[in-house]
Amino acid sequence: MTRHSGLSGKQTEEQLISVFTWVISCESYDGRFISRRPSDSANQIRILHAWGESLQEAFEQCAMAMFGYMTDLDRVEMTEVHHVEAEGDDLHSLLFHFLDELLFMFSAERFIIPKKVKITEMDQENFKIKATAIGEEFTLGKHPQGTEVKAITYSAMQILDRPDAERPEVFVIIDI
Amino acid sequence: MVVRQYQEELKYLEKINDYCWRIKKGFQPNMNVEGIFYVNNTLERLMLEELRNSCRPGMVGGFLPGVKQIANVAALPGIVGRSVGLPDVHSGYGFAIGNMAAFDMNDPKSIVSPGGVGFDINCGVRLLRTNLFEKDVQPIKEQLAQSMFDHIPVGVGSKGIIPMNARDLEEALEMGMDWSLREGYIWAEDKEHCEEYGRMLNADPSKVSMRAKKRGLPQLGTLGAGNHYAEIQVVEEIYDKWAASKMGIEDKGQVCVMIHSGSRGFGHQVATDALVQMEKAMKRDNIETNDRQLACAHIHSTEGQDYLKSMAAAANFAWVNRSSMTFLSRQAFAKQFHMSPDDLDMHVIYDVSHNIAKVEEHIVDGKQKTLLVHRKGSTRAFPPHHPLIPVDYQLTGQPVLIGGTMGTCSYVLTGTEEGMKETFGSTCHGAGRALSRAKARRNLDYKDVLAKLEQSGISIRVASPNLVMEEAPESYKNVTDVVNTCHAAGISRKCIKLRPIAVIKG
Repeated sequence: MTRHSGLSGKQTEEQLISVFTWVISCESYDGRFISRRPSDSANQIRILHAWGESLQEAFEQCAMAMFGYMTDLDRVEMTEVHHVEAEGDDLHSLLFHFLDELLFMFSAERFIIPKKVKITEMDQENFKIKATAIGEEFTLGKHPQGTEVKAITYSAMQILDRPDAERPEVFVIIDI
Repeated sequence: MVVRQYQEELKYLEKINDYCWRIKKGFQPNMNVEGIFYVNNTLERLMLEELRNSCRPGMVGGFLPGVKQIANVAALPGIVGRSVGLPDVHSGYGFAIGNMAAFDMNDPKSIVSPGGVGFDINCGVRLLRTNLFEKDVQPIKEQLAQSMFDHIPVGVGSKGIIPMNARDLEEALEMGMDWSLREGYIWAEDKEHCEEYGRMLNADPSKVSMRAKKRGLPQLGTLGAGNHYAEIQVVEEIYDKWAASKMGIEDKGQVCVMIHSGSRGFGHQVATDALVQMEKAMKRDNIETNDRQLACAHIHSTEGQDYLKSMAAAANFAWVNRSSMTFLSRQAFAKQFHMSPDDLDMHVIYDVSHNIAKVEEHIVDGKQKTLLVHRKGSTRAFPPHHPLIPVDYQLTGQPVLIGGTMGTCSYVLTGTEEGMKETFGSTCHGAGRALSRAKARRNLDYKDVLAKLEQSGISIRVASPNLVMEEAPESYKNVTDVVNTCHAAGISRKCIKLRPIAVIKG
C-alpha cells in the first residue's frame, strides 16, 4: 500500500491511493464493484485506486497515483507548468487518454514529472479534459527511480460517481 | 467466465503424462482446439492452486487463472494445433505469460492479437561470451559491475547515450541491427547469431504513431526497469559439451554477459495504440472472444496488417536497443581489462525474442501450413537442420536463452524435433512469477534481499533498491523446475547452466 498525500486540506489523509495486485471486479454484473482481493499470480500490473470529492478530483488523484509509482513525489519541485489535453468517446476512454497523455509527457523528450495535476476544464458531455501539470524535469540523482509504467489499460477499469456511489472513485490497471 | 466448482473444473483437465496436462474442450466456451500445459509436480501444484483459488465463492469475474486464459486463447478464431502453456505460465493481460498460439494465415477468420505479444514487444535475451574465466574477473568484479552500471543507462527516467535524432530513429526502425552495423555499434557476426538476423523486413515506420516514436527516441539504448537486467555470469555446468563448444563455451567458470531488455516505451506505445484500434475493429468485424482483454483483428484487415508492421518496427527497435547495450558492455569490459572486445572474444552466442508474433511454416496434421505464431513469454526453439537457424547451430539446434531472476541461475537450452512437433518450436522463457509483486513486497525486506545476494557472492548495482524485493527469487517460480520440465517433456534440451556474479538492473 502506498500512502500518498496529494492535495492540500483535510482530505489529504483520506486520499490514500491504494494499490492492489488485482481487483476482482464485476463489470459484467451491472457494473457494480463487488469485492477485491490480491491474487497470488497476477503479473506485472498495478491497480490505481483513487477518489475525491468530485470525479475531477478522483481523476487528478489517479494521475498522482501513477506518478507516485515512478518516483518520490516529495522530492519534486514545482518549477514549470505543462498543459495537457485529452479527449475520448466515453468516460472510460477519457480517463484512459488523460492518463496516457500524462504518461507520454513523462516518457517523451524532456521527462516531466509533476507534483500536482490540476484539471482546469472537464467536459463530461463531450468527453474533453484540459489540465495543467506542475512539476519539473525528471533528474537522475535528484529524483529517486521508482517503477516504470509501461502502459495504461482498459482492463477492469471502473469509474464510480454519485449518486450511484458513495463518493467518486476510479480504478485503473497499469502495466508495469 | 464459466463458474463451476473446483472438482467440476478438474474433469476438463487430464494428466497425459508426468509433465503434461490436456485442457479439454468445454473448459471455456467456444474452444476451437484443445489446450495443453507443461508442468512438473511442483509447478502442477502452483497451477492447480491458482485454479482452485479462482473457484472459491465470491471470486466471480475479473482475474483469470493462467489455465483459464490458455483455454480462452483456444477459443480465438483461426487457431490451429493447441493453445500451449509453457511451465513458467502465469496470468497476464489477455494471454497468459508463457502462452504460445498459432493461427492459420490462409484462414480469413484468423486473428492477430497484441495481447498475444505483450506490451514489451520483442523483449528478449542476448548472451555474449568472453574468453575470460572466473579467476580473471573475481579480483576486479566490483569495478567491473560498477563500470557496467556506469555505461548502461538503467531504471525509470534514464536516457540513452547513443546519439540519435528523429531521422536516425526512422532508419533504425526500418533496418534493425543493419542500422547498428552501419553505425559501427556491432560486429557483422552479431547479426548471424540473432533471430531474423536482427531485422524484421516487414517493418514499416510510417505505420507507427508519432507518440510511440517520441517515447522511443530518448529511450533507445536503455535497459529499463522491472525484470530487465544485465548480468555477468559464469558457466556453472555443461550438460552437452559438444553443443556448448559450438557456442564457444569450453569449460566451467567461463565468463558470459547476459542482457535482458526489450523495446522500451516505443513498444509499449505501439501495443497501446494497437489495442485501441482493435477494440474498434472487433466491433466492426463482429469478432467474439471470451475475454475483452483478448482484443484482436483479422490478420488481413487494415488494423491487423498495421499492427504487424508496427510490431516489426518495435522488434527492430528492441534489437537495436540490445545491440547498443552490447556495445556498451563491450566497452565496459575493454576498459577494465585494457584489451579490445575482439581480443576478449566477446561474441554474441545468440539473441532470442520471447514476446513476438512471427510468420512461420509448420506441419499441421501432416500438411505444411503458413502460421502466425504468437509467443508471449515463450521462446522459439527450432530443431537442428531448420533453415531459419544460423549455420553454426545447424547441427545442435537453435540456442534458447532462459534468463533466471535476480541472483538465480540462467540456462542455455537447444531446440528439438519434438518441440517442433508438439509446441510449434516453442519453449519456456524464464522463471515466471509465483508471488504477486505486492505480496512479495510485504513479505521481504530489500536489505535482506541485498544481503543475501552479497552472501552468495553476487555484486549488485540497482537503480531503485527499494523495489528489489519484487524481483527477488522468492517472487518467482524456480527456474530450474521450469527448465527441467521442458527438458523432461522433450520440447528443448539442457545445454549450459550459468550462475550470476554481478547484476545490473533498474
